[in-house]
Amino acid sequence: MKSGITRRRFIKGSAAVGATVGIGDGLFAGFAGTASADESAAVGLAAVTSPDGFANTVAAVNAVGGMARFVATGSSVVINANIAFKHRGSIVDPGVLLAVLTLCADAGAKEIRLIKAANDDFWQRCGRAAEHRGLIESVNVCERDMKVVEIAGGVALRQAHVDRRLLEADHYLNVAIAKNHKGCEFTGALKNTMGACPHDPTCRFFHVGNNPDSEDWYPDLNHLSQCVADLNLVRRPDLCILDAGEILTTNGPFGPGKLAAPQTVVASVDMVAIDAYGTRYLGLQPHDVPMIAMAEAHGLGTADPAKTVVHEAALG
Amino acid sequence: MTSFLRSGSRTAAAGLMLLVVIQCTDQPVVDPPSRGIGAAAAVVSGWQQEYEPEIYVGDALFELINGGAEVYHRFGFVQALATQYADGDGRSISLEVFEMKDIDGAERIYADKTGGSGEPLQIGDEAAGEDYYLNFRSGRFLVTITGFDSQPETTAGILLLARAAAAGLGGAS
Repeated sequence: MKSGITRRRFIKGSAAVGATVGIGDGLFAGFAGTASADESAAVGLAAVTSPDGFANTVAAVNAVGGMARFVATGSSVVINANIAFKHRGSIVDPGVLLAVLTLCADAGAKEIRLIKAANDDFWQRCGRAAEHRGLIESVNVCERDMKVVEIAGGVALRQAHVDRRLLEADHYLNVAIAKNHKGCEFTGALKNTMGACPHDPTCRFFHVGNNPDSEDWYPDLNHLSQCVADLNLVRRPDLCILDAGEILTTNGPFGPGKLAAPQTVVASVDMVAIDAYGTRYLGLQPHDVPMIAMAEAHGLGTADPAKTVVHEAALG
Repeated sequence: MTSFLRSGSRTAAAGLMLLVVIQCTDQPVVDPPSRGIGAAAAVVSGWQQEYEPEIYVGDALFELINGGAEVYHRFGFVQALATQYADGDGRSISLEVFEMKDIDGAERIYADKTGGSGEPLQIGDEAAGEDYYLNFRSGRFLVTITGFDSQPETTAGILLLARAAAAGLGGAS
């Protein structure tokens, strides 16, 4: 399904938005940017900037319609969050993930699962975690029970092992970080989907391709990019969140490496649009990242900024 | 950038500690783990190990560095160690040690990890410091020590641990 949005419009949020964010319960739902209710419903992508990843996430999700638009009461939600590493700028800010969990719970989700567990001290780095301990402890981690799926329309990838929970949950949220990748230059929502697959055989096939003896880190980037695009045909997320708070600009995806701090969180239902938008944080253009065009060719979204209504806001 | 050369006034109180091997996946753990890699997990003054060193063998390396593990395997990866230190004032440092089959493989990975940048340091056979992390190579061992912030105390701790780890690895290559 392609985005129905066909006109380009940037809606700039005012600093007043920030006055309603981060104060207390219930206020997050009252996103009060310059967009009207009709405009908010049409927003295809929202990017919110401030030092507070939690507040940015809440505001960005509300700007694209609110979590209730994507998560139904009584539903099961699986979240594929990039949280397994440790180094700075290599994983999603715990404040961003906590905001997603909170919004899902507030929307009435019956069950929330993470595809992968966080690293050991992930939540210790989140000042808000203690007050949400009950929610965090209620979140389950998938058992890594893989199911083999055929990928109709796959160009390089015709079959993949994919986490059963991702296939079966009522809703799927992709929570990625924008960062450097030694091979692809950029990794965001599209590549994050690999987190739902095992290393062997699926991800190994992505990385090695037909060059198992190459001395390059990523010997066949075209193959890797095409596999990523193909994999995303399995299931499209209901919502993507792209954390661009503190990000690796070199030595990604694992790090350590040089850092940048755009202090921004982006939300969109369109995983192609969100990655295309996110390339700016690495000083790139969408066409510099082949997997974006390949995913667009699959009909997974649009990389054309003229076809997305973008809401940008800075919280005061 | 905080200079590692200026921050190294403290003396490393290096010593060896027992290594407890934690099996990270279904992959078999090398038995026994080489003494060398455990020697890097040194005791340093003012920093406490937050958890026992974890050993990653075979495909378990993917859990530590994901897709980057492929090239480590290509260049002769043997095993990796990871642990973390804290100073009691909220600062943490992570230690990662990669044992390669030979020096050539270690040199290839080191060159790629550092990209020729960073402040050259006199640690191990070659070392480079950046503003919140440090890489060095000692024989066929690669070590990456990373802070979770760029405070001077953290940078000093990184340098302290690097020198202690290098001393531990010195006789293990």
